[in-house]
Amino acid sequence: MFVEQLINGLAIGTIYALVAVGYSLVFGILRLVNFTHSSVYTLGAFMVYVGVEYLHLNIFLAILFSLVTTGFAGVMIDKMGLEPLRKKGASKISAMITTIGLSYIIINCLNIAFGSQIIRFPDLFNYGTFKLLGATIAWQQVIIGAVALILLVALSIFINRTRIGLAMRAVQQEPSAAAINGINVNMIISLTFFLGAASAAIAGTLIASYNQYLRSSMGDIVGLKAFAAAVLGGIGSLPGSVLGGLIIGVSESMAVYKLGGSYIDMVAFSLLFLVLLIRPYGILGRKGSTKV
Amino acid sequence: MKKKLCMLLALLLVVTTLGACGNGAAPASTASASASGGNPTDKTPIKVAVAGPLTGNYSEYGIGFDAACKIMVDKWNKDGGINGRPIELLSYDEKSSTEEGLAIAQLLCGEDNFYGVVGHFSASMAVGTLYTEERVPLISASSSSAGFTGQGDCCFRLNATISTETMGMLECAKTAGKTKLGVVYLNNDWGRNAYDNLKTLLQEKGNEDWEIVDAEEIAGGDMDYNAVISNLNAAGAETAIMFCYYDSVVPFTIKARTVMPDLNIVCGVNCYNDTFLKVGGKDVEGCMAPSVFAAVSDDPDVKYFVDEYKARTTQVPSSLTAQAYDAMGVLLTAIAENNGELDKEAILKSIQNNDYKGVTGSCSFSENRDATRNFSPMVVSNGQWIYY
Amino acid sequence: MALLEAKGITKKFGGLVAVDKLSFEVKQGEIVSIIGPNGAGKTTVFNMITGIYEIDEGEIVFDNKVISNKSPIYIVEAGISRTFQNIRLFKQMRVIENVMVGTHIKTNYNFFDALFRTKRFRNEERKATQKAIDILESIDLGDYINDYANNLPYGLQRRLEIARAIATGAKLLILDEPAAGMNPQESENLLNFIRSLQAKGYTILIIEHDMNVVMNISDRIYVMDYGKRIANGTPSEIASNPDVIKAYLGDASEILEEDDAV
Repeated sequence: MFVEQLINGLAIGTIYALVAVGYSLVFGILRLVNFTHSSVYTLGAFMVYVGVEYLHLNIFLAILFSLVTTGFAGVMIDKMGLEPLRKKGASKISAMITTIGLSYIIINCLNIAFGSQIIRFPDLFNYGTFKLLGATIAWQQVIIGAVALILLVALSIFINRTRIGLAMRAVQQEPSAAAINGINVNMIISLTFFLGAASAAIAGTLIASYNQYLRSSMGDIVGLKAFAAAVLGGIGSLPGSVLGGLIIGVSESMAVYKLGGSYIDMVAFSLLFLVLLIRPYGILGRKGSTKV
Repeated sequence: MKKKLCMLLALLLVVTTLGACGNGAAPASTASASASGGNPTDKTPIKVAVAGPLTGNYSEYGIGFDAACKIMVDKWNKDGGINGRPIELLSYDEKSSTEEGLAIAQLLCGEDNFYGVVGHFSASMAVGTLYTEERVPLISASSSSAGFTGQGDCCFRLNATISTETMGMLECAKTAGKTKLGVVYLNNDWGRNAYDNLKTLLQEKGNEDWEIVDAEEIAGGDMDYNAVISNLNAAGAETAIMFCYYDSVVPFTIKARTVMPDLNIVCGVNCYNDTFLKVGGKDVEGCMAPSVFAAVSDDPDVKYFVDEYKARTTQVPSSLTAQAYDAMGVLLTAIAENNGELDKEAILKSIQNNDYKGVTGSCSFSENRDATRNFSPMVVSNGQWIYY
Repeated sequence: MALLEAKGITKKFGGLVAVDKLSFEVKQGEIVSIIGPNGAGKTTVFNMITGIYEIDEGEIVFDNKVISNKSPIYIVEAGISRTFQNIRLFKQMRVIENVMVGTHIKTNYNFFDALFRTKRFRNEERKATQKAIDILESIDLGDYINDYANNLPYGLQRRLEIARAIATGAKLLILDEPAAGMNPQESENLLNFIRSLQAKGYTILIIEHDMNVVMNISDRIYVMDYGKRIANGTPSEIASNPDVIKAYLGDASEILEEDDAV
């Protein structure tokens, strides 16, 4: 039972982590909480659905289609919504409100196009169940966790081991010095939005496939919890986001196990509250930390 | 520039909000004044109303009520109305809001030649006393609040009480031979109340036929149901009793099929609808629910209603929709019984004592104006609800 | 032929004229200093050269190309790199990574090369790493390659910032108060370091408050006051210029640094 619930928690936790990383990436580079992220996550899942249902692509092409379109949508959010504000020297709060507004617009568009009802989504990884230490575990949970983990590792390698990643870190730490050393700061910001949106698209697709349905409101709760995960782990810190996501995922399934299902939404935020009392910058966050 | 952007943003938000509630409060009157015969001197329409959420979160229920009542009124008007007078159906959008429902009730109470209401959804518990003061009959097709009929002697409930429905669900479990129950209930008043009710019922019955092995309170909606299912599995539940709406039942069922393929899933009558079947697809095959209504029935009245409803909405009517249809039937029959008199107290008495046989069976009321209903266990098979 | 030439450049902030029709030139291989009291507009001039500010009037020519009002990236690619008055290293990166950021501009692979770690990608990475090591060793930072920039002593942080500027392939190095906050010993080391850069063929433009540094190192000096050029010449000429002495008298004990307005 404990093992089962642990796996349940880790599976959903890696999804939170994948979404949380997107918040962290953009926050790291712009010092901005990007509230479009949860709607981009939803958009990503819908784009796979569009690819399969309307463009009749096979599932892998549909995911690729979603990655490109959603990633591009992320870049457009910055280019059309945020970059003009930065150029005019608008305050951070204007930019944040803009992201909230854009988020509503994206979700509203999805509502108009697809309605607000549950829509069935192909189950990509249904390979039944297996037994581990007496627990029944669905393969889809293992696969989802593994896919999310591989992506997180790949992202981490990209940021820490390539020179484009180096440029990203440079922009995060000292934007003016990065610019003066020949880094195209706007290009790096676009790339960051692309990566954030694409990872959200994958997370949305994984969840839609895990639940076997999607709907326009699917990002509401996950978006908030992933944001909580990012702050819990220390926003701006990539390992922090992963840790935060896993902690929230596991504590939720443990809450269902020990307390009951109605505590599920409370746990994430109670935990956040407690951790911030002790470590105001999150578990792996540092005061004024700019490290990804 | 910043200001302009803020303005633009504000404007967009306002526009989207307005768009969402664009269907204003104006009544969509469907006076089908094709009446003929009867008293040639008095052609004043007899007015009745249907009120339900046509927009907002619960719009699917209101839209169903609305269509069903229209079919019933049209049928009466085709047969010459009541005593030669045409029936005019006033249709109001409650917008899934209690305040809106109350405003509608106040409007209706000011109408002339007005004799009764079918419906209300969000505002059921707010409008009862008002209608009772004005002596307007209110027949609810959906209210699940225990206190609904206690609001006054004008409030009738055609929907089964929670105890009756729960008994129906227990019978489903018994019929399937899977009596170790895992209760999954929503963490709102209705869900908790339903679960408490189930416990009381089992105590009264001496708890012989059924056993509750696990109870899971859930937040509903897009949550990860795996943790809940793991608990049910560990407790050895054979039947899941679902006190939640179909938007939780479907995701739950999909997940349960992987880990607990043999779990018998019994849901409430609210899952007896088309969307449940469509979205659930192959995964909800075998799900059970008690119902007073079976769209697959051979009964000519049921056939007429189902065909007409399909023609107008392209959907199969849900159980609640069928109840709204019968509620309107009960109301019109009661009005017609008092030839030309149209005395409000007499109409109320006729409703109380009706022996109407509708598409959901007998519609008789108990002393405290709750319907006494007979449930049959239904099961999903080949994409439709059939008798078990 | 001058390597860098500013022709009557002007910068206004609202009604304030921060830099007023300023002209100067820097020849290949020279060390030129710009000095002046607080608020004279020196850092503004740097920001104009490096593309951070647009200029309102005039023209800046570098290596026969007009670089005024071009993007910072264009200017870096043209061969100008700078350091900051308050050190702006990537403090949570290693020393070698700081220098590799400078070489980023010469990167010759694309996103997909990086994603799939193609041969081209690996070659480019290896070349860049080797170049960074060479630069660091040439300026005696070879022992600190794997340290975090944050942990270097102050003097070495300055030096690292210059190394990063060199890594961009710059011909002209612009140093904004390189001796700020240094003790005499550190200043002395810095002087020697800058001279060694000149010997390697770099052209250097400096803003500096420390008169000792300026007088010791500069080939020529320009003096600014209230956005205008009030004098230019060799250190000895400047030292005896009555206008310069007058400009500095009211502010002779200048300690506070001009606010860097980037």
